[in-house]
Amino acid sequence: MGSKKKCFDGPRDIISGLPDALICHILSFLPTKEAASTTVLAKRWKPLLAFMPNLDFDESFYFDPLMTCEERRKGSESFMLFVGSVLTLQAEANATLNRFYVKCEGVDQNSVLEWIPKVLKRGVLDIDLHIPSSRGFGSNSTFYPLPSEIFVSKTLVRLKIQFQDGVNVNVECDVSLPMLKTLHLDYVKMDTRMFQKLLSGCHMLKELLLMNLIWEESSEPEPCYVTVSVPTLKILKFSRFENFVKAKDFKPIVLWSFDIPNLVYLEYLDTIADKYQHVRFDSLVEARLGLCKTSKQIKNDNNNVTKLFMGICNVKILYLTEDALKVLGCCRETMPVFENLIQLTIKTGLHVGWKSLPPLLKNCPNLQTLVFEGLNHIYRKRRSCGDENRPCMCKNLDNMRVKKDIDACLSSSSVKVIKILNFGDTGDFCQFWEIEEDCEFWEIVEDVADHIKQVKQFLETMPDLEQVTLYYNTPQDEDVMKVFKKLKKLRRVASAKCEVQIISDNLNLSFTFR
Amino acid sequence: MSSKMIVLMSSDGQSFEVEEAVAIQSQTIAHMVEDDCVADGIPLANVESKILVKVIEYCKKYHVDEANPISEEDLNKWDEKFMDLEQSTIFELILAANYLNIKSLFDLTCQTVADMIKGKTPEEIRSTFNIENDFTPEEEEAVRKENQWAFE
Repeated sequence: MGSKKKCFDGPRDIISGLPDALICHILSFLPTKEAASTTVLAKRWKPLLAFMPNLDFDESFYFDPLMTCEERRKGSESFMLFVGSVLTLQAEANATLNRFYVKCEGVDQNSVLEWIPKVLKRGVLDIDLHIPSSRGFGSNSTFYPLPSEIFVSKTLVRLKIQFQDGVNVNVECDVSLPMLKTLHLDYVKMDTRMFQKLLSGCHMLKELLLMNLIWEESSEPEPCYVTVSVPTLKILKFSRFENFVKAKDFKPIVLWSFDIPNLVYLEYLDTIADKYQHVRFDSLVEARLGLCKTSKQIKNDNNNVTKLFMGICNVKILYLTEDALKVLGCCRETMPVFENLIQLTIKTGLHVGWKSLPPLLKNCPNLQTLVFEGLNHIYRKRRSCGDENRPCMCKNLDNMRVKKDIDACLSSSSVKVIKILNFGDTGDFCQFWEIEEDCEFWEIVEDVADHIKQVKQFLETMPDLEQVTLYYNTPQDEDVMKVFKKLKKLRRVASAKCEVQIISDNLNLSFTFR
Repeated sequence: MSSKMIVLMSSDGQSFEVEEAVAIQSQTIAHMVEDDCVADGIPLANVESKILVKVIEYCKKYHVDEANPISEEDLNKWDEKFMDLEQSTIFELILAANYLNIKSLFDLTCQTVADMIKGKTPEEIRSTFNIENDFTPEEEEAVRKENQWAFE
């Protein structure tokens, strides 16, 4: 910059004197809309748009809910034109492109797809296309085919795509993504063979998210082998499309293998595979499981699911959905010991019983924190007495036996902290759930008194408890006070030093028994 | 437990003794240390003493070791205070961080300037940075039309 000249004629414009690259770096911290508006500041600023290496087009931020449909359409059109013109300007200038983010709603997804080869040609490192649907997934989703150029990019490090109407992954050529570290595809259709091809082409992959995945019918004969073997992978989230039970998608026979020795975090929400051939997670710290049986699956094939649970038995933190809890109930005799587990979260549901809970808690010798999402469970009442395997039980007896089992394992539990989310939430009666096959009919009885009884059971049996926190999402302060008073009256507590806390919309109350 | 010290010399002739481990957060200095040409001190012809003092302050703070762990939240608060500077100083810091190749300082200083631009109309931006508008009204209108969406 040379020697500084003392300013006698007022403040200086220093910023315009910086080199182009520095100004562009400053502008890269702004969304492209704001950065582009600097083109009008002065002549020196106009050409810079061509050299901004990080493009971040976010239309959704400016979406005004009071706009008319026509205004909305015009706005989207203007947006698409802008993105197109910036890309053209930059391509002509032969400028480097690092990041290409687009977030918008209700636009022509085909046009967005056309931009992909253009940015890939310029050696882009990071692509993030987010075209969410505010109306949930359409039943007539198109599943736009992703251009094959994506799958042979030598530069791509990060790829995230979420389209309102889904994407389809199906390429003839081999997949080669030597630099790819992060891959997120949300609402995606592919066949199992393509899935394998994709994995085998990513040798540096650290993070893989495949959400709302639908298996596509392929010409390959069943059974389909799916092996997730990626030595570099640290984070894996795999979840099948949530309505897969009802969806008319292809349900292949799948033989799964997990061989991911460096994986630290696993999220796996799926129907149970027809067979888990090989399950290896040497480094897993945290897992989130949601497993569901399909109707055609053999009812008593416990060893298969056990293999999966054995594979994750060294985790420190575990989250089970209500479906996983139910599945675990079927293999409670062969349940492994979770030696390192210190935190367990259970999502409860109105259609799931708690019979897997006693053996699970017994098999967690070092558990410190137990979190419940809701305190719902199914109470069964059957009509007829039948064979030995289906004894007649009335609601109370079934409940009592489960209660005794739970009492026994709770009194030897090491748990210090219990958190109950959605306390008092007795569930939506019209919620969708699958009826138990061996149930003639069922009866759901849930109210806050049941929840209070449950909390009392914890307090009466667990000797190491230090903290029980109830999150009671209600503005009705009198209801909260009622619960508070009832719990305070408890006499026979197993751990006198335990503090009970109730957090509601307006209140935060706590007491200890001592 | 003595740590290796090196000497940094600003453009206006002042010398500063700094721990090598702290100084090599600057890739430029790190390369010089590797090439072993630091015996008589490192001359930094592009950095004034006033700015070098700030750079050293930053590097010392960010030289985190196990003895002095610091939370991200505390670092962010410190960053804010550190960057409470006159505009001219901020730009000098940008240039220094760029020359010395200290990525985190470079990003912090550029982010600070970006925050001064964010949410402002072109008129307000011009005012903040004393930028003179050398477009004619017709030229300005043409620019606005070319990137219409950016101005909506």
